[in-house]
Amino acid sequence: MTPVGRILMSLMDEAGSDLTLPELLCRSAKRELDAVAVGLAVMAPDSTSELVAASDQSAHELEVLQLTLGEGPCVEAFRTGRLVQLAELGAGEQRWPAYSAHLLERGVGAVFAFPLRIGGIRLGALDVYRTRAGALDDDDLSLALHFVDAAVVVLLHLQDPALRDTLGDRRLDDAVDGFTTHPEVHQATGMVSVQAVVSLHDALLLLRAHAYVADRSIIEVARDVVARRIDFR
Amino acid sequence: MSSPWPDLEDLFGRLERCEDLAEGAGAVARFARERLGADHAGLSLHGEPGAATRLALTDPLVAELDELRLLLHGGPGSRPLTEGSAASVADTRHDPLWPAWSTAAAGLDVLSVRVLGLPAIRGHAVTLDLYSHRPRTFEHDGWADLGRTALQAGRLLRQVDRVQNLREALTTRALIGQAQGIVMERHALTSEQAMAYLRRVSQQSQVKVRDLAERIVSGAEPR
Repeated sequence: MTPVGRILMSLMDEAGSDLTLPELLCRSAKRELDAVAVGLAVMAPDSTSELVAASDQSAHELEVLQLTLGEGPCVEAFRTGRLVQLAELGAGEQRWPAYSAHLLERGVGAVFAFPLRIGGIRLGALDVYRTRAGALDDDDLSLALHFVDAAVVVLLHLQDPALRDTLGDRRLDDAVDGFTTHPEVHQATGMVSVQAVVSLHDALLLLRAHAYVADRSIIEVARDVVARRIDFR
Repeated sequence: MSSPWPDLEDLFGRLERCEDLAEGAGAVARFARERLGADHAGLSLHGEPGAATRLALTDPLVAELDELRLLLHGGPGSRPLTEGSAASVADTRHDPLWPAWSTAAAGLDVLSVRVLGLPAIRGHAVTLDLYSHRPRTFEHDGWADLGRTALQAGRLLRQVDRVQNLREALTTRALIGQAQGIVMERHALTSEQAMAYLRRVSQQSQVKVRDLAERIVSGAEPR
């Protein structure tokens, strides 16, 4: 069996648990790559709206951090279609200082963002967070790439109603099920665009800026906007 | 025979730029004409039983053959085929299977036909119809390789369709959420009330919620 086939089979063995296939894939990758967290982010071409699956709550927070900042290795991997490595976060990473500082605070020493792609079409990124600094060795790198391929297969198969049925996961009845989505971010973006009389693009930037200054996640801020606890007028 | 991969890569490059399934199917139909030895080609999606929808065709002759199929109650390609299976007419001038259709096709100078079952898309069977002005075009030994190439082309089409489906799902969610927010703010509604409002307007105006959301969102952008 191919390595990707082996990964997919092991996920199927666990299917039927409370976790969805994308979540199981993140967990399995976390285990096998000796990572502290693994996250999967799917992005629209404008790299704003995204779906997230994560190995656990801390991985989910790390993914949301990039959504809050609107930048980071995951967004970069998606944008460029290339692997983005921050192997020495402690060594004064210059590119995304705010992001890197947050990661160090959470005990992450290195992050690797692998683009999910099919040919030239970019879908998102698989993010591997490790406690210890240092590049991935050859074995881990090739294993990570197999997980990337498996993630693409899972992602595409979730698009097919017939295949969702074979997976036997009745909760997966929507193309984006199996992922955590944050509709409140979109809703808040719409609200802020009316409140501040700005474009949707700028409204999202306002939300991000507010979250950054308040040191909160964009999701918390969006919930406050939707509940009318924060107003951008 | 040469490797089909450069051809398939070229096809994939074309498919990536396609906006929807029909456009992608068009690229596969043209690919079939250029690389699989067909003079005319078409792709069908078999949704409801007995109803084949033409996703794409290379030229009007294929539409003419389709009409004959309806008129004469049968012909190759009117039924779904499973992935990898095939139906063919080696020579339409001597065809016991669909005599009426084949005679009519021969009258249009279409002398051989091969229908291939491609991978199903969105749970529906897909067939690729290949037509030739020469008899026995799709029967020779080397054609088995071309048949496999056609299957690969079908797999690529399915991949691209799934990607588009995913992207559309993402866009739809963003648009509806943003429109919800705009409506919440304009009419002082909660998110649930705003969703109910969108559904009501959608029903009254017979516009899909997604399209209505797009209108609201684009109208909200200051120019």
